[in-house]
This record gives sequence, structure tokens and C-alpha cells, in this order.
Amino acid sequence: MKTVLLAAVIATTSCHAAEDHDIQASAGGQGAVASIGDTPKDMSAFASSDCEKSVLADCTAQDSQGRQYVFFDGALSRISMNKLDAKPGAELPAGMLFGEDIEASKEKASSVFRIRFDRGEVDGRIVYSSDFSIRSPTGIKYALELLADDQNKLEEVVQRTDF
Amino acid sequence: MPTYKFTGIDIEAPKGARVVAPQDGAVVDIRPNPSGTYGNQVVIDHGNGVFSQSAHLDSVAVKPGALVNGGQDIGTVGRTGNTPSLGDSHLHFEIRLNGPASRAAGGTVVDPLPYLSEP
Repeated sequence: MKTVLLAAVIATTSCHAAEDHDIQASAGGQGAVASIGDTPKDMSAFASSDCEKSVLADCTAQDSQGRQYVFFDGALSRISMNKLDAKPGAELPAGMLFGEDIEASKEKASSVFRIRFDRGEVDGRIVYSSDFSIRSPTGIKYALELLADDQNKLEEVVQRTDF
Repeated sequence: MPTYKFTGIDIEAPKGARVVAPQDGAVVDIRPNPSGTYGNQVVIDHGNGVFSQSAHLDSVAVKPGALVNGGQDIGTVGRTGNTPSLGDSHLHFEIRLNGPASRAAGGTVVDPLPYLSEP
């Protein structure tokens, strides 16, 4: 077993691997109530939240369409929606659709955001992940991840900042 | 143009690799933070208002209240919390001054490198 000695910093990578082709984009699809990097003062737009008043240091929220929002260090750092939690009519970014072939989803997202995806598998399921090259309306860069079910159909969409 | 504030350093290592306490201290928390960002973590109070947070751990080897020595095992490297779906396992390490307060993301984030001793 290898030892990670904090004293011997093996590789200090900040995870930031963005290519310099920034695309400004609406974050969570047409129905999203907030974008990556947002610091909403009024949480009433969310269907539910465990955030304490307007303190967004470390909390979560959900909207009426089933999106999950993560706030960290005062700003929205992650938006995700999966097929099981999505309400009827919920919209995904780039016109993607739950249940469509994930290759079609990837093509849509690539075209709209003008990004490239790395392809991999997690637990036997296809995952496409971009680098941190999409710029939200607030100017924060984030990555887009598309996750398939065991039939290679789009099951989850995640937008996340670096952490 | 705003930039997202990265709160620590990432140290890439195989899943299961040992993570040790950077210095002597007392374990104050091992719970995942409310937003789940850190995943499994160990928060250590090193005194004088200095707190370290070791995040995305696969396993945790200490309990709250335990006194640890620098170099002592506190857990293993993993991918829990807000990590990329296709990313490598790594240790997210940060130092917060006068934190973590009531929330895991409290205190003031500072450059952790000066708090790491030479091997």
C-alpha cells in the first residue's frame, strides 16, 4: 500500500484543466432557477432547501422540476438532474432528453456548447465528461457530465465547478 | 471576470492509499459536510485557530475527539463527494483559519503548503 505523506506533496494539481474556448451558457436548462456561480438572495424560487436564510456556505436545494443544487462557499457549485427525480416537462441543457441514446445527447451538448468530451465507463456505464470550459452567465467555468444507464440511455446530467 | 475559488490542493494517489495527519491535533469532525462537497472527511484542530480538512476519503480511520500525531493514519484516498465522474482518486486538502465553525466551510481558507513540513 502506498503512503500519501502530506509532507511530501506528490502532485499539487488544482484540477483546473480548462481549455481556452470559453462558452457562455445557461447552466441548468431552460427551467433552471439558478446558474453555476449564482448567489441567490431569495431562496423562494426553489421548491425546497436546507440553506439557512441567505447563507450559502454549505447547503443544498431542489427546484420544482427535480433539479438538485449544491451551494458551497457562498455560490452555486453544482446542478444535477437524473431521470428518476425529474418531473414531467423538465428540460435539460442543449435540448438533451432523458432516455435518448447517450451518443445523441453528447452530440447535442457538443454542438451547443462547442465542447469536447472525454468518454469513459463507471461501473460499466458510459460517462461523458467535458473539461471546465463552459462559462456560466456569472462568468464561472464549469464542466458538464452525461451519465448513461445500463442501456446506454441518458440518465443523469451534472454541471459542476472544480473542487 | 469572476473565477471560482478553489479552496485547497489536490494530491492524486491511488484509491486506498494512506492519508496521514499533517501535524499533531485533535479530530473534531468526520461527518460529510451538509452539501456533500467534501465527501468523507477528517477535520483536525491543530491549535491556534488552525484547522485542516482532508476530503474525498474512501475510509476514515479516526473518531471525533481522538488526539492524533503528525504522520498518523487518518484514512484512505478515495473519490467521495463532489469529484468528477471520470476523475482519478485524490486527496483534497485544505487549511482554514478560525474554522470550520458550525459549518464545514467556515473559517478563512489559506494556502495549505506553508503548513506542510518537509519530508
